[in-house]
Amino acid sequence: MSFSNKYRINLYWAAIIIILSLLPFIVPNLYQMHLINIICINIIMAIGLNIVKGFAGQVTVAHIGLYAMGAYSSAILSINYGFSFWMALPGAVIITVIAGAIVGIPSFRLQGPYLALATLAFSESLRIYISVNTDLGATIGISNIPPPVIFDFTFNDAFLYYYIVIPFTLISIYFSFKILKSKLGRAFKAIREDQLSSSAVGINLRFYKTIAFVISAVYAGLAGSLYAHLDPGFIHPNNFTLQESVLYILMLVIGGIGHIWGCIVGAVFITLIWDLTREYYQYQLIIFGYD
Amino acid sequence: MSAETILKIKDLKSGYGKVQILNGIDLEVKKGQIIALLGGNGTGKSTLIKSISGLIKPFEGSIKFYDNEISNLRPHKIVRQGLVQVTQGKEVFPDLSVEQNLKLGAFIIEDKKKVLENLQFVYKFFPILKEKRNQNAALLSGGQLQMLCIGRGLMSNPSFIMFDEPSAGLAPQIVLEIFKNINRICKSGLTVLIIEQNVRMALLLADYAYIIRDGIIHLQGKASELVNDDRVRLSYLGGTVAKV
Repeated sequence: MSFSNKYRINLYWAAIIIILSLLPFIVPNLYQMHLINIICINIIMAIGLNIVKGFAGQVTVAHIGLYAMGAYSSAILSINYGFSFWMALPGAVIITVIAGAIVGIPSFRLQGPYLALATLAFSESLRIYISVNTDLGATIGISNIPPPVIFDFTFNDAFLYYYIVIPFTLISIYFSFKILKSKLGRAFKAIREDQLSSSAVGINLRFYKTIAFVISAVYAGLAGSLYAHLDPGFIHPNNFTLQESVLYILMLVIGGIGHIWGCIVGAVFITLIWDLTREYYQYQLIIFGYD
Repeated sequence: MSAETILKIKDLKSGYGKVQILNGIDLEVKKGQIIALLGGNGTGKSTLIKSISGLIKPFEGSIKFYDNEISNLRPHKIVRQGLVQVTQGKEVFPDLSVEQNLKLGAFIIEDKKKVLENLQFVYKFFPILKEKRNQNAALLSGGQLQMLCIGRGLMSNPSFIMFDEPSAGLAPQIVLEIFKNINRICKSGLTVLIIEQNVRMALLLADYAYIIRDGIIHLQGKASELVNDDRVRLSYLGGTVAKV
């Protein structure tokens, strides 16, 4: 019984992977393919945010700052230091993780809206720092970020880049489920439910909060790096404003905070709505409820 | 009757922020005893056990558990030494099931078989929790919540367990049941420290009692003697002192 059940689940996964890998042959034009890549990156972002906010219950607005950190470190590493994509991505993740651990420090003492404000300060000051610093492209942004290369094969358009993004997305989703079922996940949920009781049963609050921020930073760094190298290889401080931050929180809220599948649905839904309402740019404020 | 002293507090001063609540407490707990910590509202009972379990940091003084100084340790390390606090106000993890709540109580135990053993032990102790094991903890009644808190405390195999007002907000019948259970816990080899406002009940249950007033130990003695102490009767048990 359990064997056949497991077998069936594996079959489902195989079917999903086949469909996903054939997607570029079905999608008619480049823009839609580009949009699918953005959706995948947003899924990585949303499930990363879900780990710190949904599992561990720490209200953070710093996720967008970590995303910027990942994107800019990956871009700088590959342009100024000549790293290939495959070196720049882990480099960006490491830098983002360090930043994530630092961002987690206020959570030792602050909770709820106060923590949100402290983390907001981080992401906004980082964005402003980027937009005045000429070494980081200032308000011109960084362009010509090289696409990934395997041997002599360059992943230089959205159809090809999809095959870079989709494995990372699937791996991210897989690990998110793993974390939820592990001891780590149980500790996160306990912290979300009641901090006092958590420490009374022997959970090291500081350690597990830091771990939650670090794991979400891994996701944000990964997503940022993938976004930077995505064709046309251009990033700008305006990609990382408070409005984007609100969008990611919206993805979680729509899907149901704490639910992994919900985050994925939310990410797909919000990205599509955002894209469809682009023409009505002046009404987006009403649609997404930010200002 | 010279049981081993497992907890020794010396000249403990503690409080919240800059407000000092405890003005030098000396206290001793011997193995296998039930110790009652009594006193009115705002006298520092909860502050004392929060200081012991590390939830607040003492200003000065020493707390020795067996031979280890624990006054500087953070709470999760103190739990690992076998000293568990059952918090006041029935703080459970509301959105998790009863069983998940109990399993979190055994967070520090790595051995899964041991966790299941402890779970069966707790279920034997509180059969009602086994009945409700798949329900969310938020759906339990007050008495069941208290049982869940006690059960969660027992899950980590403590040698010393502290209760912060287990009878608060419960119907008298349920209070009696909880007290019987605490007595059974002590019989199973644990040492118990209990905070109570219900002085009469606590004195019946305990072996030894401390009465706190204004952040110092006001009275102490064997529970059976304190019940008959005039000062205790006047202040805490009600009624007048019979003239002899």
